[in-house]
Amino acid sequence: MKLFRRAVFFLFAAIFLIGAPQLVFYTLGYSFKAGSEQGIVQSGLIFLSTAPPGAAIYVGGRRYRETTPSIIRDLMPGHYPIRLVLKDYFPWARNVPVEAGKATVLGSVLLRPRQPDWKTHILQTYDRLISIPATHHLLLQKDGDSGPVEIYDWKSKKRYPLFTAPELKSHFPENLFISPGSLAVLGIGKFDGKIQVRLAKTGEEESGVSWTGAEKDFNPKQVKWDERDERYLFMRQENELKRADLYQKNASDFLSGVRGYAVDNRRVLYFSGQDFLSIDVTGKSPKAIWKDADSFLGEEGEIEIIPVSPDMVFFLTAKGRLVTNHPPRIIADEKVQGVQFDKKNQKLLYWTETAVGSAEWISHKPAMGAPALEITKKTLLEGGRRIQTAFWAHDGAYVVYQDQNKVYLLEPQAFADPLVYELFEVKNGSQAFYSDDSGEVFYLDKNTGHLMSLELIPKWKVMEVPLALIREKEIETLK
Amino acid sequence: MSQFHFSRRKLSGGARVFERALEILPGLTSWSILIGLILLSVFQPVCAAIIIIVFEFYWLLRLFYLTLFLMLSYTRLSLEDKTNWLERVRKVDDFMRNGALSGSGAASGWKSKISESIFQKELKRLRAASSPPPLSADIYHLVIVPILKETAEILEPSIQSFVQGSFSPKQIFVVLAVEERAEKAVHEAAFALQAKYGNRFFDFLIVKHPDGLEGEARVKGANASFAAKAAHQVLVSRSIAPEQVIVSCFDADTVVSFDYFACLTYCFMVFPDRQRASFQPIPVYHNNIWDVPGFARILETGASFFQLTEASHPDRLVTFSSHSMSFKALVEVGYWPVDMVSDDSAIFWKAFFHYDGDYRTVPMFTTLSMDVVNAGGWWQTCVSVYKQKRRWAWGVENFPIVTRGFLQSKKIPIFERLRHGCKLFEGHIAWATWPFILGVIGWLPPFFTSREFSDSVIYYTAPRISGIIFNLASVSLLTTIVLSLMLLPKAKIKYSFFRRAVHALEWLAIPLVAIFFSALPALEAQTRLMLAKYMEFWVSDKKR
Repeated sequence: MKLFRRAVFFLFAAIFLIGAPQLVFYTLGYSFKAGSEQGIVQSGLIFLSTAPPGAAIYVGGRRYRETTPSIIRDLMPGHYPIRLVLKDYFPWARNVPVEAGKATVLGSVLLRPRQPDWKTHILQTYDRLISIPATHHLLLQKDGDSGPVEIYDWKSKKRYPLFTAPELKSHFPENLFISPGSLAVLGIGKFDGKIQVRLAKTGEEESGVSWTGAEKDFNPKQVKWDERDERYLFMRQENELKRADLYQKNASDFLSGVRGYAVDNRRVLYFSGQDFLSIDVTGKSPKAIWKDADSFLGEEGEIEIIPVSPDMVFFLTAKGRLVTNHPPRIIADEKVQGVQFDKKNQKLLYWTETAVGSAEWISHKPAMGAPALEITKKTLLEGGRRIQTAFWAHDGAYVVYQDQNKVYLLEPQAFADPLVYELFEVKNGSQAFYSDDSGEVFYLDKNTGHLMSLELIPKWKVMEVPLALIREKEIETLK
Repeated sequence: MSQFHFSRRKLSGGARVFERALEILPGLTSWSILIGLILLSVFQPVCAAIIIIVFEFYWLLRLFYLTLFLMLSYTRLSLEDKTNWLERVRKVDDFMRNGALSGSGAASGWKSKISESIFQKELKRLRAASSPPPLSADIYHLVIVPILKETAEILEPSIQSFVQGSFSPKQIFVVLAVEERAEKAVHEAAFALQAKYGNRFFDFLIVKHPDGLEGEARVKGANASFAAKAAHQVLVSRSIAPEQVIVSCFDADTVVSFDYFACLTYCFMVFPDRQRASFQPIPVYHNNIWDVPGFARILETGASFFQLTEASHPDRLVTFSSHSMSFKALVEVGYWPVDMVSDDSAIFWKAFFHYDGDYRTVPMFTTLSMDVVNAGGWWQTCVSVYKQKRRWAWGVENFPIVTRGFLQSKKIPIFERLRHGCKLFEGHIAWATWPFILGVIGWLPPFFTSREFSDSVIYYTAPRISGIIFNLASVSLLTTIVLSLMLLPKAKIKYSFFRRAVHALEWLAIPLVAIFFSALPALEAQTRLMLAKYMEFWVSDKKR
C-alpha cells in the first residue's frame, strides 16, 4: 500500500509539474504547431455574439461547428473572413483581424431581419414627438405647436392626456419643459392674470404654484429640476436663476450671473464667471468644482451643462465646442449640436450637422504606477446633410441617427469603414427616438403621423457578453 | 525519551516570543493569501488569473488523489464488514499460545478472502516481532467519557453499546468524568447510570473534576486527564499493569459498534509496537443523521470521509475525536494536555515528541457513531455547527507547539519533521482559504477587468478552463455522493429512497457549506490564535 501510495503521489506530482505550465501557456494563447510552422506559437481568438443568437459561423469557406455566441480559438495572427448566417436575417460578413495573445471581440453583432418588425402604437395623427430622456415617456402633440399634448408610456403602452384639470385645458400649456430622468412635465402659462407653474405626472394630480407680482413678464428659457426631488424648480431667464418651491408655493431669486446650469443629485451645477460651481438645491454648501474652466470653453455666452455621472460633466457652448471636466478636456472644437452618453460603457456620442463622432474613456493599468484614463476619439460618420439626433444602440455597438427626415443604422467598426443602413423616413419636422431598454425606434409615420416603431434589437433574444465589463466604477475610482 | 515541554504556558522570554510568532503565522498566511489574491485580482488580473488556474489544477489533482484513496479506504472498510473480530482475537490468542493458527482459511467470498489474507499478513508480522501481546483475557479497556452537560438521554445509548458489544464488559472499565461545575441533573444522571450498569462492567467509576485546578484551562483534556489518573490508581490497586490496558477517550454521544472493542483488542494485539500507538476508528455521525438540517448532514459526512482518506496514510495519521491508545503511553507522556482545546490531536503530538517520533496512529477499519450537532432549530443548529467547526479548526493551536518541538528535536529525522510540519501547516491553511478561493476569489479577476485584460486571450480562456476543471471535479463529487449513500446506516423503513435521494442532492450545496461552515470558522480560529484570543472548550449541542 505504501509503495502504491508513493507511486500515485509521484504520478500526480508529475502530472502537475508537466500539466501546470502547459495549462498556463494554453491560457495565454500559446500552443505547439506541427508541420511547416512547427514550434511554439501564440494564437489569438475571436469572440462572436449576435442578436439574435444562433447564427452559423463560417471562417473562410468552412463552417464552424458552433453557433453564436461562440469563441473561435487557436487562430494564428492574420485576417479571417467571418460570415454569420441566420435564417430570415441578412448575412453578416467582415474581414476580422486577429493578433497574437489578443481577443478580437465582436460581442454585439446585430443581424438585420429580412422582414423588419414594424408596429403601429397609436392610430392618430401627431405633429411632434418629444422624448423625455432616461424615461419611458414620449410627449405627442397634435395640431402643430399649440395643440393638445399627450404622454405615451412605451413600456406599459398606455396613453394619458397632459394636464387633466378642466380649467387648464384651454389655457395650458403655453410653454412645456421636461427634465431628463423625470416622469413629470412642466407647463408655464398665464391664467387669471397670474403666472402659473404646473407640474404634471402620469396618473397623478398636477401640483403647482401660482405666481403673481413683478414677474408678469416672466418667460424662462430653461426650467430644470432634480429627477428624484421635484419640489424645487430652477428657472433661468437671462442670467438670473430663480427657484420655485412647489411645497411652499412660492418662488424666489436663487443665483445670478449664471451662464448655464443643470440639476443633478440634489445639487445645482452652474457656470458663473470663469468657474464651474455647485450648490445644494436648498442653497447650502456651495462648492467650486472646476476653477477657471472658462479658459477651455473659448467663448463667452451660454453654456449647456450635461452631467452624466457623479464626477463627469460635459459643457456645450453656443458655438458647439464640447468640453468635459476630464482630460484632455476639449472633445470637439465647434459645431456640436448634441450628445448622448452611454454610462455603462463610458462612451460619448456627439453629432454636428454633418458628422457623428464618439469618444471613449478607457482605463489603462500600467505594470507600474497608478491606473490612468485615456480617451479615444473617432469620427463615425461624415458627409451628413442635416443630422438631427443620434443614439447609441445595442450596448454602444451601433448608432441610430436621423439625418433630415431619414433614420439610419450605423455600424462602426474598429478595423474597417463604418457601414450605414437606411431604416425609414419620419414625418416632416418630427424626430425619432431610440432606447436600448425597448430595442425599438419610435417615430411618427411619414405619411400618416401615426406613432410607429421598428424593432431593432430583439430584446428577448439578446445574450449578454459573458463577464461584462464594469468600467463605470473605474471612472469613479480614478476621480 | 524527550523532555519536551508541550504546554505553551510557562514559556518565558525568547521562547514565548518565538511561540507567539508561530501562533501568528497560520492566520497571517491565510489572510495574506486571501487579501493578496483579491488585490492581485484588482491590480494585476492577468497575474491573478494565471495563479488561480494553476491553483485550480492543483486542487483538481488533490481532489482526484483524495478521492482515489477515499475509495480504497472505503473498500478496506467494507472488506471488514462481516469480520468476526472476537473470533480473530481468539485466533490471535491461539496463535500466541501454539505458534500456529487453528481452523483458519475457511473464508468465502472475495471480501472475506482478502480480509483473511490481511489477517495472515498481520500474524506473520506479529510472529516476526519481538514483542508478544498479552492474551486477550488479560487485556482491559479503560473507557473515559468526559461530561459537562450531556444528559442520560445522550449517555445511556453509549453505555448500552459498551455492554451489548461482543467483547466481555467484565474487561471494560468505564469512567464517567464529570465536571464539578456541571448541573446537578448531569451528576444525578451519571450516578443513575452507575447504579444501573455498574455491576455489568469490570468497574464503573464516577470522577468529579474540580474546577480551577492550577495550570488547567476549562478544557475537556483536563477533565479526561484527571479521570485517567483516578482510574490509574484503581488499576494499580487491582494489580493491573498499564501495559494490559487500552484507554479510549470517547465523546459522550459515542455509540460503538457490536464488535468495536473486539476490533480494538485485535488491532492492539497484532500491532508490534502497541505500547507506542494510538488507534483511530472511522468516526461516523449516524446517531441522528436524519434529524438534522441537510447542511449539517453533508458537513459531518465530509468529516467522516476526511478521516477515511486519512486512514489510508497511517504514517501521517493523527488522532481525531473519539480514539484509543495504549494506557502505558498515556501515563508515560503525562496524560492529555490540560490547557488545550484540541486534546484529541494534541495527545498524539505529545506522545510523538515524548518518544522522539517513535509513535504512530494505527487506523482501525471499523466505525463508531456519534451525533451530528443538533441544537433544535435550523438557525440554532447553524450557530452550533459553526462553533463546533471553529473548535475543530482550533486544532491550529498545535502548529506552534509542534513546530517548536520539531525545531528542538534532535532525534526525529528531519524528513519526518518536515513531512509532519508541512502537512499540519498546509492542512490548516487549505482549510481556511481554499473554499474562499474556489468559491469567491477565483471569479474576481474578470470583474475588475481593464481593457487590456478584457481584450486578451486569457480573459476568454480562463473561465473556460475553470469550467472544465469544475466539471471534472464533479466526478469526485459524484463519487462522494455514492459513497455517502453507501456509508449510511442500513435504511430504516421511515427513511425512504426519496429521503436518500434528497440527501444526494444536498451535496450540491457543498460550495456554500464549505465556505460558511468550514473555511469561515477555520479562518476565525486562526485569526483568534493570531491575535492571542485563546479559545476554551465549548460543548456542542446534541439532541435526539
